[in-house]
Amino acid sequence: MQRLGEETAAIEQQMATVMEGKPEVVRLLLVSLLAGGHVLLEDVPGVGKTLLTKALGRSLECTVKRVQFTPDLLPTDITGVTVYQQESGRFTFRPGAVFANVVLGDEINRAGPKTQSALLEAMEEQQVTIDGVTHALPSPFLVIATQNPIELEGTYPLPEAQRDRFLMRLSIGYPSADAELEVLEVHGEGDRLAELSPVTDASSINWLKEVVGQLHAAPALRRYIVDVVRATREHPAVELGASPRASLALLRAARALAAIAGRDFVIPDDVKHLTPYVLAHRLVLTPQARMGDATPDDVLAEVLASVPVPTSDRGPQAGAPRRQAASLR
Amino acid sequence: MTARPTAESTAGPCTAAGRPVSEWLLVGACAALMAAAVLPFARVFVGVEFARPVAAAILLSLGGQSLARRAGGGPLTGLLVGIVAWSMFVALAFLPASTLYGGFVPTSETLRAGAELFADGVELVRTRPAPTFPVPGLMVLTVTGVWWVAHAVDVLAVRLRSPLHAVAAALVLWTVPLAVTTTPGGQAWRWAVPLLIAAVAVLLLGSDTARMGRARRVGGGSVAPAFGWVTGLGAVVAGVLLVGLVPGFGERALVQPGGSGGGLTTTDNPMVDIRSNLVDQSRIPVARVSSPEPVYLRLTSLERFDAGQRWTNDGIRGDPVSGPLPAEAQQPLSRSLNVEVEALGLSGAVLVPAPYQPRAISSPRLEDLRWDSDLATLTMTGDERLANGDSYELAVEVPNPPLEALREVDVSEANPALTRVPELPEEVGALAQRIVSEAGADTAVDRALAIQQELRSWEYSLNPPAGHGSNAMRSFIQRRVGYCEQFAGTMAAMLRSLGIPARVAVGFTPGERVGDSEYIVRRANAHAWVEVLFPDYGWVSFEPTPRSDGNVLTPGAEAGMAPTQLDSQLTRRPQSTATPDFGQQQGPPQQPTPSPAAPDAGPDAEAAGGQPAGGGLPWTWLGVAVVGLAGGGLLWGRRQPRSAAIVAPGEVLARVQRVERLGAGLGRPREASETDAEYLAAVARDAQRAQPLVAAVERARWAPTVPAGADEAAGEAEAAIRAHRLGGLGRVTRAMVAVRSWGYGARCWVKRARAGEGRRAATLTAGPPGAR
Repeated sequence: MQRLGEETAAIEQQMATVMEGKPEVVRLLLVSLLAGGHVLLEDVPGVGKTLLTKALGRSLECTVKRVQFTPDLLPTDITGVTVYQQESGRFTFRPGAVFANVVLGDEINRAGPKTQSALLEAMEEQQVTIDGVTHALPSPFLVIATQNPIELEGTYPLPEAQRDRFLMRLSIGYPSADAELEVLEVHGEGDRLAELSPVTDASSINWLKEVVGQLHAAPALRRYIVDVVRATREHPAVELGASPRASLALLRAARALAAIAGRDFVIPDDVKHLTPYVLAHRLVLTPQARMGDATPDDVLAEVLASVPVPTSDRGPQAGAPRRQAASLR
Repeated sequence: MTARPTAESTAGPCTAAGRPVSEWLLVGACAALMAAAVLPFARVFVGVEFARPVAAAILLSLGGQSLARRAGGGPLTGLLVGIVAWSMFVALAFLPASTLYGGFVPTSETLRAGAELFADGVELVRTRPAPTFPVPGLMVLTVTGVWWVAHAVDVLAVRLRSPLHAVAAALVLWTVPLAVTTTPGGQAWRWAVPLLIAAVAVLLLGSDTARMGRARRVGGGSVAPAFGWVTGLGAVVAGVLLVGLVPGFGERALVQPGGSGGGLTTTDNPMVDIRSNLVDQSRIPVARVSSPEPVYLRLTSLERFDAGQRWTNDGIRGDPVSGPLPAEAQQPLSRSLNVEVEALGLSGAVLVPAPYQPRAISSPRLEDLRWDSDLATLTMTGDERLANGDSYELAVEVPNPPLEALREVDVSEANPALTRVPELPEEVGALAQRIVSEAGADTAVDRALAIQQELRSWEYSLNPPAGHGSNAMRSFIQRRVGYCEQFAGTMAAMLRSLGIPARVAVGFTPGERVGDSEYIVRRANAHAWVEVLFPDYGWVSFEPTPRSDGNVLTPGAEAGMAPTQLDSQLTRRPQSTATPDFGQQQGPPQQPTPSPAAPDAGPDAEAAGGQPAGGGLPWTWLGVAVVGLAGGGLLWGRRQPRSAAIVAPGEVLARVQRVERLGAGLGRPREASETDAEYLAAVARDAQRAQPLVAAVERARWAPTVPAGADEAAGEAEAAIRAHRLGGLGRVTRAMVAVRSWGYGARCWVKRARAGEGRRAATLTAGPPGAR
């Protein structure tokens, strides 16, 4: 537990040197990494999406690949292709862009649906199958896909089902004035990225992921997660609520956040904190709500303010037995 | 918002913790606790008939509550069920069926009968000595008390899961009979053991964090709860050993019941029981005596001057009464009388009052009577007790030897035990010598008369220091003020110091004449006097006690007993003609207020000097145990220096609840959707200030294990929050805050009780609560 806290702290500290004034984003990125999920970065260009990804890759001492998604990008560019080698007279597999620990898919909505789904499939399966041969992807495997929310012309927005594959959606946002000034100074001096040295490696990240997966989450807390997710489905402004996959994602993310905070147990605050990031991109609001300028974040704020926080997990949870009792009667 | 969270798991800020132990187990433990708590009532009641209604009350009270809970009723419903069930029970069990409509439904007549029964019971409590018979009036009070204590125990232990309070309630019930009654030679240990076992069961099962069969290792790692072990063991040892100091565990009760009518229950020292009555001015009748002449009713005699401390006897034996009673001493010169005694206020008594000296008895309860010819004492046998209304006829031979005959008796032939006065204060013997030599008396009877006359010139007071041991005797002869016990005790001791066999008799003076040959003896007539043994003639009575009005009454005066017959120079007024009421004559203007405990304290204090540790309390062992435990604890603590105090999750949660109450008092109650961190930071107005408490409570609520020592920082944080928020407030504002906090606390209490309710009902239906 202690080691976990130390390592994550080291990564955070290191990345903070390049991502001035955005510790929250860095932390959430780490959450995603430890939870084994992927991140959808939805932001205007030029706020440091690529920098963030590269910084993470350097700090972890693992491979980073960047794919610029364009309308003519082919699925095989993502996954890889089998090529006939004339010298040896054999087909050999040439890995695509996803064969890296950290993959940055820039402007993912610019590529066609076929290419998009190739990436998303790889994200979900953690493996790629080409010509009947399955190739495992490296671990850890983190996809950071960016999307420009402004330019809608000539884009293929991710369908709801695809968005569900991302653990969380983040937006970096513009830096504060001071931070921006700092950016100017830093970048003026040269490449700070090159100065980053790895603080950990892929194998320890895998170990951390294992530890995180076993973190204690009390039954009452899991119930709280379910309550929150169910509440999104019952909210009047929501047409399509969060899926059970979302519940799972929320629990995984909460565990990772608890670990980063140095705790060996999850608390409701973790869940509350992560709910907007984990659930917002999965909600589809009703047309009326969208006309009324409501956003998923508003809905989630309302949900969080209405679902009571469990106060204890000392003793068995009475919630389940009671429900059971009611159905037995 | 249509979000409908499940209220049961997330009942908001004031939710109680889960209840893992089966409710039935806990109710069973409560029943056992109550059963153990009512065991000492066996001291209050004669026989075992009292047990049935009391057991029924416990079972019905607890059962009613269980059913009410099962049916989903809250505390109020439970209370209503309790009231209805209790009134039905009382009506059916104690009130005449004729007052019930259809033999079942109570009517206004039932109510009236019930009220009368209660009034009767209250009256009986004041007048009846313990042990007494389980008459309806007393039983209705007992059953009512037991019923509602059981109700309270149930509410506290099962509904509120506050087992300590439940045990305290039962403990009160348990203590009452032990505190107010005497044990007839019994030990209360046997009543303490079941109570302790049941209490431990309730404490274990009812505890907030109790889990059957699984001990929880708090904090993980090497927890060495040396402190807890040592404290627990010390508590057990101290509890077992010190329990002997609790009133009722010894031979005598701390408090003599106010209504110890005649105080005739036996203990090792009848004087102790009787003493409070010797100064009692109550006009409560004790007995009705039919006799041709006024007679002293004798209860027993005290033959042993106990190690210089007090008059007592070596215990009363008893032979069955069949045919003529053997004479205590040959009494050739005596008069025969036929006396009939009817008990009026002697219920529960063991010593049967009788004139001296009975030779034959006829009574419907003859087979229950026993006679001790050495002490001339009539007693009830075994568990039998005298009941009011009992009557018995005695053929009495009153010693009546002439003075001349007594002068010729050589008293030195008597049993040497009867002249033994160990550790008698020197002044007493010296005073006796001086009186005798001044009077020039040289025979035993003359010496006795001289001392009697001297003492009669002293002052009578009902407010003397109690007791008749060495110290009391010393102060008595210095101040020359006392009451019958001291007069009789001192005279008997003086006579013995002169070699004259003497003893103290206790009983009643003849009482008030109400008819031709009928006397009513009241409690105020309780008395002590002196008997001197004249071989060949028997025990002859002397009366050293002066009257407050200057009259001196002499035992058997009208019966023409020797000392007074010949003692014609003494000024005394025949009482038979004037039919004086002893109670009134004897009484000084002011009502005496003898402290019930005081009579006991006297001899006990005296005994302590003479016989250290005689009471059986193993002081040595206690000391060894305490020192051993302390040493062991120190050693253990040294071996495991890192063992820190273990903080139960409940303590931290209680802190948060206090902050919640504070916040509510300050107008910022907790929202259901707020986490601990959010709420505590809001109340503290600074996340940093609340941080230690937040960390502790998060761990307490959500962590798989709770580490040691987390509470100190949390406590400081709580204090800091409190200080910060209340610091600048005025007194009035603070009061307002406190009131609002209490209101919030009360609402939470109700909410918790209700939540616990539903939860338990759910648990019951869904089967045993499983592990998570």
